[in-house]
Amino acid sequence: MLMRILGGGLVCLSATLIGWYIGGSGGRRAGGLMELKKSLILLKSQIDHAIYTLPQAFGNISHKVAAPLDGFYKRLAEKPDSWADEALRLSGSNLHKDDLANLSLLGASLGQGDTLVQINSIDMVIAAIDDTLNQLTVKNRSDTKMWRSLGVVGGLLITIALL
Amino acid sequence: MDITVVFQIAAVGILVAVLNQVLKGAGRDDQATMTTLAGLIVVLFWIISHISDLFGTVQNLFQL
Repeated sequence: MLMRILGGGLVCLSATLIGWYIGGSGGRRAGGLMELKKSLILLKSQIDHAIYTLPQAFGNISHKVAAPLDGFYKRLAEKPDSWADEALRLSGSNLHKDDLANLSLLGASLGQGDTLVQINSIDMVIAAIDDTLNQLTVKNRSDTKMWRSLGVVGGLLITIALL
Repeated sequence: MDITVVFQIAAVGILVAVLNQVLKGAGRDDQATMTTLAGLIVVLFWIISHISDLFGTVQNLFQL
């Protein structure tokens, strides 16, 4: 009987933790998007005001942003043409597939046109990130609560069904 | 019949009701309905043998 109670407790605990983890994924994505937005604003100011070349700008930004974006910009500083490939390598981060698709599209216009075109492209991606962040804020409120409750109740349900 | 089955069914009923409310609160009415159905099916699986026993008993009792 003791083993049953212990097993049931472990199942409840695991389900609760899974619920908390899934519930927090929206917040982690929002955090990743905020960091990405910060890096793009930095990139914009480096191109617009400091008038650095792209590799120099990428190198400077890599020291000012958190992981995994610091590695992304560091690799771009060494190989500026590989934007799209490097953006896809960020798939291990908290960013969604759509966010990475937006980011990889930016690579096509960076270094191709004049400063104004590049800044407009960056602004477009920042606007898309802002839209996503607004949607996430509304969605996160209900989803986080739901996933956390689902974790706890789901764990209890499984335990009762197996006892 | 073991009385624990009754308590298990009651517990599942309460938990499914809570899940239903949580999912409806999050605007996921479809999933809420599916959860209720799943709960019903699980409980039916538990009691189907008891219902079969009941029918057997009734048949024996009235010699049908």
